[in-house]
Amino acid sequence: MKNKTVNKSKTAAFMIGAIVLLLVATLLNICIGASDLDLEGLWKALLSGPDTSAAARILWYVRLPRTAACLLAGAALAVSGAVIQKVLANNLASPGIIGINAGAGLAVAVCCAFGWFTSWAIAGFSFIGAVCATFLVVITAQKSGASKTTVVLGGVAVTAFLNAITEGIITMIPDAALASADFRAGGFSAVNSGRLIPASIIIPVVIIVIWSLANEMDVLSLGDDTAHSLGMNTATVRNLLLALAAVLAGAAVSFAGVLGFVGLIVPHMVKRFIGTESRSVIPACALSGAGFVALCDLAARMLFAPYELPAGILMSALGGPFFIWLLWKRKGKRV
Amino acid sequence: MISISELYAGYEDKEILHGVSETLPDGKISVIIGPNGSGKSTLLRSIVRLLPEISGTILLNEKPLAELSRQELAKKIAYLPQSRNVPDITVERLVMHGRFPYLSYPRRYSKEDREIVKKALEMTGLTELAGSKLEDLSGGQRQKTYLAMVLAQDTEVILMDEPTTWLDIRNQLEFLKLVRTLADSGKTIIMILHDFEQVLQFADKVVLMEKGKIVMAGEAVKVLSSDEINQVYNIKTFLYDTEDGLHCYVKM
Repeated sequence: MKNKTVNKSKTAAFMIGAIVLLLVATLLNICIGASDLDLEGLWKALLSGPDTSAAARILWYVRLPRTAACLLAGAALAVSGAVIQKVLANNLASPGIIGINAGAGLAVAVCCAFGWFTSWAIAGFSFIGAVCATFLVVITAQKSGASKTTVVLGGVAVTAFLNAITEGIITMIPDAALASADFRAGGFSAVNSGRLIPASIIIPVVIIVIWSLANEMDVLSLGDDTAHSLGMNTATVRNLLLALAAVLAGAAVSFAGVLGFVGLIVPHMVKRFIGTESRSVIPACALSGAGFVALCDLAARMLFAPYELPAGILMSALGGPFFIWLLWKRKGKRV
Repeated sequence: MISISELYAGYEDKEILHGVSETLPDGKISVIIGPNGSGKSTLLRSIVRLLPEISGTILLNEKPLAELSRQELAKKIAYLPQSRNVPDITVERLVMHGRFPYLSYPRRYSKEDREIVKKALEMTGLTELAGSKLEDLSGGQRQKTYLAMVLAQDTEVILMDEPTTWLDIRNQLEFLKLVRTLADSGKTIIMILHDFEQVLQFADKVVLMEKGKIVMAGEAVKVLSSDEINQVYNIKTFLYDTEDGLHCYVKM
């Protein structure tokens, strides 16, 4: 039973570390920027309400919405990636593989092509596009039994098809390319609290629902035949989990644009430390994904201040080498 | 008791079983043998409804299996497929998944579930390894872990598709002895084996299949010394007696 205790204490240590990272990242993200806030000023601005001083306005209208957006997007994308990797038994899977980015990208290109440039229109279109693309993938795979392979292949086919249409639109209508460029780079500079309201309800609720299905995810990962013989309708459960993952990632993409690597790298990092049991992986991904994105956004704002990099670009720039390092560290073992 | 009657089953575009009828007794080990592609695995998969039956009936204690929900079926019949994943989880966690059919949403384990899991670990001699990761175990220990999961499923019937594949000879015999213990405690075991020596040693009933049909069924001695087995495999079997019982020798 010694191993069991070691596993549990490792998981507990990781969770504590992730919570500390999250709190530090949140605090730094709120306090540091073009105009810094010290702890005393932060406390005063929090208590006094939004319109009492310049510091309070910065806090309530800029820093808090932006930090909340980072936390929500990070948690949503990391959990979505963890679910997709588990359900498809594919460690290279991420929200992009089930068409989320391609669907959202096409919907935003269509939205911009029609001249609807408001942030609400872009958010709504990208969410609907992401979710519809996933349903298209699931329906495609359903025809052939919704096996893991057919979902991945369906995702590749649907992604290629939707990307081709998007490229066609932005080639024919240059305004659409310009207007959707921010969305495709991914970031939080255009976030405001109004845009966050739907996602701030959807994301926590869906994460809790997914967590309650942790046992289903683990049983599904035993293989379709074993899961089936344990009484599970594998196709239904797989599709349900993919749909929930799509809603999560779609909600994040709706206000943050396309953020690469979070859904791939954070679940990898988490599983490397605490194993693959979903009841631990889901909350650990939510916490560390939120902290990771908040830190990346902070770095994106500060590295070349006063210029700001889109967080999505920085994430890919940092995520790629980090992922290669992880692969090297795992040489000889399963990724 | 499982009664199969005039079962036609297979895949959408290919019928594999062509009118299989057989009765498999309670509390005994029934072993299905036959050349590759004879429909052995398809028969097991049809019993657990992994493949839809095209026509025919399968009864468990005179009740059609088709009338049971997936969850009810999982409480009656456990199935150990030929290929199994090795997830990055502990032995205890895998065995606990055997209780899945009994859990209602949101899947909390009861005291009774934990007791059953503890007993399954004890029966398979895995208590000491409960906290070990599955991927750190030997092939034999992993196989026992899956058997413990099936035991935690607490079903009347256990189906196993080539459960000794990939195990060394010692682990094969240990595993089959454990299966014998289970049958002696009242479980109905139906499994696929290829080794005639083991069939002779462990089977209470042998079912010989060829091209999706049952050619012959009966006691191991009777089937293994029959002309039918020689025709089906195109081999020659010899049974011989020694101090420690009957043995089977096979020649091309």
